[in-house]
Amino acid sequence: MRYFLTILLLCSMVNGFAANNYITIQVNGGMNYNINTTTGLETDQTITNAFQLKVLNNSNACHVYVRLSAWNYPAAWVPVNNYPLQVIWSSDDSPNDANIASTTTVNTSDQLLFTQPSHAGATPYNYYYKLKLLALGYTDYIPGTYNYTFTFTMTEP
Amino acid sequence: MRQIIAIFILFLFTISAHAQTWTNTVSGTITVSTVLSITLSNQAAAPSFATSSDYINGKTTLNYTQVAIKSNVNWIVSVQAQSTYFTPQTQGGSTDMPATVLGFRLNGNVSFTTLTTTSQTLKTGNKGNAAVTGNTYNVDMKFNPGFNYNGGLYSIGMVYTVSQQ
Repeated sequence: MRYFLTILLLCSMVNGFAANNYITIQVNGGMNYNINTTTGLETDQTITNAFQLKVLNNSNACHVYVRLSAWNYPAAWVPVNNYPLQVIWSSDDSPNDANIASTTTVNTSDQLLFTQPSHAGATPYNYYYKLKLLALGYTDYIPGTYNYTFTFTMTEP
Repeated sequence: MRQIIAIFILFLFTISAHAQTWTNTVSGTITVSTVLSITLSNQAAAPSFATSSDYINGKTTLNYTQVAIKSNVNWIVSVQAQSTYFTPQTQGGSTDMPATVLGFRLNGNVSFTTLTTTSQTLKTGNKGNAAVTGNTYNVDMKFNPGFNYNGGLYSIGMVYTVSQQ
């Protein structure tokens, strides 16, 4: 009986840890672009404070990655080699962030954004990011709508 | 007892195999509009008719205007007169000198196209910036009013339009 109670206690502890590990995204400055001028096609477009990641990891250190998980484009578009979106770290309020990637060109593979050591409490750390659309130019991106989805993954080592 | 330990070990394995990855997603949109730009530059001065030869033969100005196109679609440039007749800028000038005394052509071509108020194709080209071959070019003009109009200074608008093919 004592062992059984111990297991129950462990269960509740583990569940408690799990409840205090999460990553959420808060969009601030927006994630959308509307390119309708020559300047828009010729120059990079940066959204300052585009979004922030809220990371809470009580149980262990974690790595946070980003990848392009969906990319929908006009039917006649011919894919090019590189995707045009970059996430750029601006700041964070973590006292012990590590492995910060300053600029990440997002593609379909997971790319490390930062490592966050575990921390106690219920308040997440905030990581703030700019979003940059690289100049699309006149030939690579036909007129139309391109929809994209970023997936952020928080993984314990 | 053994059964409890087994359950406990199994439980630990279950925990260690439990998802230690958390994900979240965010989506956005990039909307690219059709963009067409035309820039006219290096426009030459209007010719002066000073001799009878000028009136008999007309005058041609090579590279009268430079046209530069930027576009993310294949394009077509057309030209038309803004009005049927020239507007005299000096007293006594004729009011019936038509736009058709002007002709235009791509620099390097042989024949001129008569300017009218109807839009006429000047050139077509491929998407790209102004540095793309064929997207920057010069236009020659021919002025041939003959002897039918009074001396004076005249003006007329010439409209260049770029559109998607």
